[in-house]
Amino acid sequence: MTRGGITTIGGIFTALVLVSGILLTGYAGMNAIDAVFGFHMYLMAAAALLGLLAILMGHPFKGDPSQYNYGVVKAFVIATIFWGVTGFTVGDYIAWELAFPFLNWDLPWTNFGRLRPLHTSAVIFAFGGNILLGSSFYVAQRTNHTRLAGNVAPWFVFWGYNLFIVLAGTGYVLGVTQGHEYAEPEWYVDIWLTVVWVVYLMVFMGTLMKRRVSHIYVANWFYLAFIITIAVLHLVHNMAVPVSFFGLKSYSFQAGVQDAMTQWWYGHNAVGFFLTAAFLAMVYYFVPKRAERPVYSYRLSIIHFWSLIFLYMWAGPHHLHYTALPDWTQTIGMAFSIMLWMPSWGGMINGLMTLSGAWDKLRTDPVLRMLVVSVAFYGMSTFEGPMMAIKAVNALSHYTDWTIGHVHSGAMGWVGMVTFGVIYCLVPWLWGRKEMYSMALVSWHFWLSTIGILLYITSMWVSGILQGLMWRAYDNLGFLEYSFVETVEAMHPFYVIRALGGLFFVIGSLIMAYNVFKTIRLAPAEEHFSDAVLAPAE
Amino acid sequence: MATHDIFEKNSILLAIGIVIVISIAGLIEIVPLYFIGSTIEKVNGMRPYTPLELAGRDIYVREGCYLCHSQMIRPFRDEVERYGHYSLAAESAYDHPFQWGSKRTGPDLARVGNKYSDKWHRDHMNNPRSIVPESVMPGYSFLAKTEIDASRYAAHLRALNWTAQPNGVSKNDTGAMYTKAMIANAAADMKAQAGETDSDEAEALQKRYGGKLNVRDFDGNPDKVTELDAMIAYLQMLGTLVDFKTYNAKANLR
Amino acid sequence: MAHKEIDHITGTETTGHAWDGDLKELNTPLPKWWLTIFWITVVWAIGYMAYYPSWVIGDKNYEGYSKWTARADVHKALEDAQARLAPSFAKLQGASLADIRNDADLSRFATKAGKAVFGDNCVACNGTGANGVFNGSGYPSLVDKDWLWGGKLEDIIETIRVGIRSGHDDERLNTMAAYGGEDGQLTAEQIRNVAGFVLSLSGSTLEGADINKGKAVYLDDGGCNACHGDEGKGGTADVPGAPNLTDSIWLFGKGNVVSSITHGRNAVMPAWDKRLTPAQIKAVAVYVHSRGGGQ
Repeated sequence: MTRGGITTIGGIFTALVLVSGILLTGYAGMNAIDAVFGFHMYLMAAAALLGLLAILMGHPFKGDPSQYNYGVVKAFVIATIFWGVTGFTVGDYIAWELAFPFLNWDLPWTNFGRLRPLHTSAVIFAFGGNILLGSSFYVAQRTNHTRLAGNVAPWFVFWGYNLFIVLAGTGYVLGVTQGHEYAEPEWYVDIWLTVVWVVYLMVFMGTLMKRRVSHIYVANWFYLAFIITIAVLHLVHNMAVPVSFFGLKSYSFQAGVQDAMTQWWYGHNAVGFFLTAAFLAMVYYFVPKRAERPVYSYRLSIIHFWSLIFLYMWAGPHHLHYTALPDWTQTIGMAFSIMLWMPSWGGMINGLMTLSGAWDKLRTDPVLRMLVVSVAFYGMSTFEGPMMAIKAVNALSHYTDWTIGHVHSGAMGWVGMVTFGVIYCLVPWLWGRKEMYSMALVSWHFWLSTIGILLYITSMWVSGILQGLMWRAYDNLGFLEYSFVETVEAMHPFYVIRALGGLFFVIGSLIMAYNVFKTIRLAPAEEHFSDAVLAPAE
Repeated sequence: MATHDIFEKNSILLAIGIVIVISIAGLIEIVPLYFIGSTIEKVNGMRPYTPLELAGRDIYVREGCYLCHSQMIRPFRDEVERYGHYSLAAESAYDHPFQWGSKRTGPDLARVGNKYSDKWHRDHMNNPRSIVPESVMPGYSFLAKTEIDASRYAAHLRALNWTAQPNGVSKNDTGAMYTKAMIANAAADMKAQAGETDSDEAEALQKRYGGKLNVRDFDGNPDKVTELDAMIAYLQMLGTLVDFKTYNAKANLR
Repeated sequence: MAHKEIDHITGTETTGHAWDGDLKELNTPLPKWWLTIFWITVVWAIGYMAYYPSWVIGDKNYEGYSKWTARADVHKALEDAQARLAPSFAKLQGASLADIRNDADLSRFATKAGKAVFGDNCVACNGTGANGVFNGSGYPSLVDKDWLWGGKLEDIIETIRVGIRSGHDDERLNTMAAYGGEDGQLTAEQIRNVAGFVLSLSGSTLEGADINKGKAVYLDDGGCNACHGDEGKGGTADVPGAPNLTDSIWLFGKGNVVSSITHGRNAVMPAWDKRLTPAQIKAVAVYVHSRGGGQ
């Protein structure tokens, strides 16, 4: 039986929510005191109107409970690729801006300060977020042997989340930010994300609750921890007082040292739960699937899951070593960062050792190679992280490009590579193709990305350590050896190398986009495709 | 591992378990910062931002200056010698949000106030490489061309009165950050600070906020209050408030 | 219940569950090395938190066995450095220019100390080599012989200490007024003429300017000579700060003379006595003096 659109309870409820949304945003738009606020309100109203029309027409929210909901996953995958290419390109552009500052063009919309949040949000929340939401919907269905909960709700999450990204991104370029790193969107965008996230949690939990297997698969633990923790972080960190309910600006509820601590409690765990726990969930599904091997150790899964999510939350103060944050907080932050090392590596061990007995596949399967290299980068970054959390190391590395290099070995090497691998798995599986259009292009993508990452992180290591050493260098009489401006000059060659590395990475992602496009255009291979929900299992 | 079955077989319990496990750290690391007396040092001289400085700070945030400039001098000999006294928590008690930053592509700005002339800031904002050839900073020539609507700023002060004021340090005698008079005169105060140094309005402004305010035409354009006025007014007061002559460093080692 | 089986390749038992068809888990025990390192980090962390300030108990935090604080550390580092440098700084404070020149060690000390101070405080305006930034930018080169406020060591010290038009209690100021505009003392034509005259003093010409008329304006209607002198040689001890107009050095640009007369010029140099110690000021003055322009 096919049900959908306005005929379902979910459809009616969503329609009501959308109607009130149109009224609310329309009203706010009409009374807006800032042009950009008005633009954003009308944008939201228009999106809600389109959603309402789609529901009234009963399309495409149709669901056959005996089939998996692949449509929404496909949408997430395409959005991932789109935002990935966008985010990498903007990132590389601002890398060139640092090497050749005339590229800022002295315009508000193109200066580094506005484009940098666009880059970080596009990569973390748009590229990363879309693959996390999409893959979680895929994995939750497949490993729970049930269709995704709700028919309208998953699509609401897709469009709602991407609307959040459009609001955030256009806002940055137009100068809308609350000034918290990795949480720049203003109060009204935060409220909208909260709504979307609650629906996301409901869809995910609903799918778990109607599962037709006795045990919840480990990937879902990680996804659930990610969804819950991001909700907690988002709500606490974004507390703010709007200047007007019809304007952009708000002031953060907290100030100074408390605000700083909350920011990095949030920021570090955005890394921990968005970029680590949730991507580990992807590893726990796609690596064993692709390698056709069982997960290495169930016991390690349990121990490293709970220890990871517990310990991660403590490590935030290592972003504030030697600042005006009291010493006692820094001590705890550093101690827990060190303890976090092995729990982080638990995921790497489970990822890599799952290949025991299948190592030969690395030679023949570039997709598996991507997944494995991503886990290797994960291992490297999660060793480097605790090391940089040591106060003596941090005293040198903090405020330098070393941090930037570290972030990118995680973001490009781990998050990027694992996402590429998952896309190369998912596209044939979702669209029912035998394989990707071209495995040679997958290999090209792999090598271009790897070279790009290596150029990026090595140049940032050198420039970061160099800059840190120059700042603290004393001459033989006991005076500062270098002025600050000399350290800026010394960075130039490394900025050029870094931007070149980024260019390699961008080109690789374009090759992926082309390959995915060609794959979708291929003729379906019927025997490889089934979206029928699997039978219940123990 | 049979006991773990409880979580694996019950999604609600799994969710509750996760909530408990992730909540502990924040409660232990963040909450005490609000009630431990040593978190924020005892200092003289801190005051709320004037409307003009606040507008400048909003622009600083809007343009993402904090992505390349820290406002946090760490307690290291080289940083103290380069930038001045290490930063105190008290110095950002009025900062919603804090601006300590995480990267120094450019130098720390915690104590840049009164370091350079207004003309230098004007030239530098307009075209950084015209005076610092090695700089990689973007040009912000549009600031001088953008006027500020002073009449909107009372609402900003009012909003700040609704924020949390940790350990009460950013509260005045009336229990808020800004007094009624400051809010009522926000627009006049903003214009006065970017105008004549010895006007009656400037005197009233000085009286309301107390002590050493910079009052002058910061952007070299006496006819208008521009974003450049606000930005320079903000930069010129950074790190200048705390009276280090009366600050007892030994009592605030924590 | 669960169908546990032995994985052929590793010889390890599975947990007996299967998801999505073929997704299974091995029941491999925790790797020993992993567990060992994990416990080592835990023990180390406990020790670290016992040694350093950490947990909050009641309304105070535990101070740590070591009673260490970052701030005490930096105070000590600064005091140590100060103690080490104090004798040399004291010697520098008492030394005359000749003393410094005759003492190679002291000279090197002063120059290095001054260069460090200059690098993070003065280069923003005066350039990394103290040679200004661009001609005509309004920020002076310190390597030439042209000094508005005196090029002797003690003059330079005073300039750094109190600045120029800085608002300092001892500030030194004079005013180059705006002579143009609606209420201006001079007409646009007069300004052009006097600019032409002034430029002619160093052999330059200005199109459309009548030098003779300009000279009259200089001496009469404008009264420029009151500050710049009858011959345009600039300020005297009584009227410091007025530039020499005959040396072809143009602080605000050779092309901007008309503009300077029309709109006036009042460049500011901040006072540094709050940021720098007297010894540092003397050191940076010695450094500047040594760059080639000092008198």
